[in-house]
Amino acid sequence: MSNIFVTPQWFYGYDVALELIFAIVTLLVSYFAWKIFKITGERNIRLFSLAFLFVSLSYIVQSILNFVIMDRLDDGISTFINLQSVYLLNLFGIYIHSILFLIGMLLLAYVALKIYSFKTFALLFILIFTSLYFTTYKTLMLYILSTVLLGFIVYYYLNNYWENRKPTTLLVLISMISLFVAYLFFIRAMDENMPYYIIGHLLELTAYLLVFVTLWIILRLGKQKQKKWQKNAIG
Amino acid sequence: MAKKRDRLKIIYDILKAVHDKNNRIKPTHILYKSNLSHQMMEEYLKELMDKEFLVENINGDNKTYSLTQKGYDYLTKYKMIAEFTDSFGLE
Repeated sequence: MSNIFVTPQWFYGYDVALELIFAIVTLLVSYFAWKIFKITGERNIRLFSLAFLFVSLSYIVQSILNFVIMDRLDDGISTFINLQSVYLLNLFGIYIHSILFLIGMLLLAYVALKIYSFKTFALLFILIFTSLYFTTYKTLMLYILSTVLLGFIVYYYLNNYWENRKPTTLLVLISMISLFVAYLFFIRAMDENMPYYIIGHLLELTAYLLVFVTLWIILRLGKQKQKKWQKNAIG
Repeated sequence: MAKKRDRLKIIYDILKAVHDKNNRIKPTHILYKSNLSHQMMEEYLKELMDKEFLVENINGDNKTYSLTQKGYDYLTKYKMIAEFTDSFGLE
């Protein structure tokens, strides 16, 4: 749906499945971060959780609308009305997905860059959504804005890894780099270059699988250490 | 150069100090165990009471602090919390 005209027909269905995977992984991160926020009460963790919730919602919307579009294109009746409804659905999907995804990325950049100023956040928000509103090329603008925000996020996670070298910080760094490169591929895919679109999706999949692995390592290590701590406390 | 102790670790150190003193500790002990300035310690104690991690017990001139269930939960889950915040750069 991000741009159905550059999506190869054979890829319909796969993209829906991939978007569902992205939605589930990001929702898991959001849920886990929320649980940590409930324990710590830290504001930046709440914002981080909200950022991933918005990203997850954007993928859920994208997935549902892609499914509907795929269904309409599959019914074999290529009437003008049918194609027009597909076009409108696609346009609606691009708007909703872009807004949700960009809010998520903006919140993530806000937390990562430690801005902590509502005025700066509002300024970035207005600049981003004004440029998105006035452009004719919504999808391209979404990809460009996301790439810029992801560039800042990657820089932040590079520093984070530099200061705290361990497997999980490296995994998060690689996942953010994958996401950043995926969006560069999406920009390139706008020239109706289908392979770039598919490589972009595969890189996105790599990014979210790495996030999932990170989460799994954190939970496993955390549970081990929790048991050890409780054992020591009783002992 | 040693890494700066982050907020979550300072909170852990304070709660751990309370726990290690059989869940009843005087402010002077917290000051000693947490390695903070007096003003910083007061700010942290206020925050920890606001967040319901600690309760203040006043008995005459004596003032002590105890852990709440929420504070205990934080202590037991701290390693997981730290792992998460470190990995996603949320310090």
